[in-house]
Amino acid sequence: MEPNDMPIPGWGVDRDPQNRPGYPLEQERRIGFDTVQGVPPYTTTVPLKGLSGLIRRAAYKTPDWKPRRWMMLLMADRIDMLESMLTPRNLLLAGGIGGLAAALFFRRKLR
Amino acid sequence: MNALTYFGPGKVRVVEKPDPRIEHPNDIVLRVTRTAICGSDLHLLDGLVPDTRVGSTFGHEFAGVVEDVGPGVRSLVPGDRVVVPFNIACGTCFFCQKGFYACCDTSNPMSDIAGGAFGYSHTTGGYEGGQAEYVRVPFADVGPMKIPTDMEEEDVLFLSDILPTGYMAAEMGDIQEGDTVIVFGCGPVGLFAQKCAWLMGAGRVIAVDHVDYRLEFAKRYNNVETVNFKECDDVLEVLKKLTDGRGADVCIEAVGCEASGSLPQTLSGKMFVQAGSPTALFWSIHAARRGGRVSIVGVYGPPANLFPIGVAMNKNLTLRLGQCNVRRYMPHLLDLIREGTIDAKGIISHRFPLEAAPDAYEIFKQKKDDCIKCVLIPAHAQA
Repeated sequence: MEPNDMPIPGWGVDRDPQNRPGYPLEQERRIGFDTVQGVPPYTTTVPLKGLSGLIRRAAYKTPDWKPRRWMMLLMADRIDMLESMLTPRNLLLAGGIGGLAAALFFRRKLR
Repeated sequence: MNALTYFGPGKVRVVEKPDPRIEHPNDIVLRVTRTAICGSDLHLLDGLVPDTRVGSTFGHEFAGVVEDVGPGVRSLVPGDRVVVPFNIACGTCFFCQKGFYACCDTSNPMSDIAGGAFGYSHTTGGYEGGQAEYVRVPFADVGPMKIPTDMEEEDVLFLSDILPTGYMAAEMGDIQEGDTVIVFGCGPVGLFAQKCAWLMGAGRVIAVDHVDYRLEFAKRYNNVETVNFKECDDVLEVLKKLTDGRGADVCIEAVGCEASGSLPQTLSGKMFVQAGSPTALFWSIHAARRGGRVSIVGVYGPPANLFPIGVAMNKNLTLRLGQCNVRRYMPHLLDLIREGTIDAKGIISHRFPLEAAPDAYEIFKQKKDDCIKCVLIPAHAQA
């Protein structure tokens, strides 16, 4: 008997459709992002931005099995955190404190 | 809506975010009524999971009421109460068709390492999590399971992750009648793994941890023998003695990458010499007998860990590992909850309003106030 003649007892794609996840949606071909005009199911509320975004983009070009990919992503996470602290309020505060420190320094110098 | 949001390692706050909306025809939007903090959320909180972006919402254990449905959804209507698996699975790809819902190709095509999951960084697809008032649920005909009308959300909340994970941990151990099983970890997953080990015919179940109140709870909840490794000079020596010098038939590792117990492993994990501390993994390999089985459900991440693979190989061990394919187990486990065999909500020790989530994280992480499991309740679901 040829291997292809042997009955396959419902393994994987050959499993009884009544007992397979995704049926009947698979049969009707409604599910699957490729059938819905290229709309992927994933999206993000936190798009790439700034220096962290550049590093992440570079990391995505490196395969999963290289530690470099993951170390770059971890570094980008830390930079992302620092970038998130650069709010207008924090910048104004930093500018104010910096200006005050500079004024005190030069005042002392000029005496 | 209010949502727990990440702002950097150790920093989470509840902030206003736009409500989610239908992005894909097979989406639903769920109004969350119960959500829980998982031990693996602490790895996110500590910044150990790569590509965790500032502004993302955590949370992969949740249940709620369907608020809106996409035009492609067939099995749910607004008003249905559902519990949602943490995996996002399409149901039709190569992996989903084999029951590996945790490995779905469609929900996370950018990665070869993991399928899509809720609230677990962009490494698993960047989906927003359920520690919020609302959440978008893709592939709604595949994952969510309707909650029977005679059951509450808290009865079935843990079908989203930790109960099927504990069950799968025991199943992967291929437990035979009378086997001795050592479970490392008395957190929620470890507790359910202990329970399920008994259900699968174990003759003896030994639980290992270092937190006294959790060991006491395990003894009460699961009737297990307990070992506090901080009270042992050498925990492996103690475990060998308890098992006639041979080792256990099955070791279940339900701790993950932030294990305590070995200073060098912990330090090397914190310095990113390796991806977290695999102390419990190390002990599992050594505490199993030759020819035994090691089942690993503790979460580890990339890039790599120092791992005694040579020992595992020379001992002819069978290693079974994986993220839980939740949908496979939900119907069976629902029956076990309904008939009272498993009191899933019995492990809830704390309930907080969603707005107090940062406090909840602190209590859960520091194991204060005898905390076992925290459940968060959004404002619209508070009685």
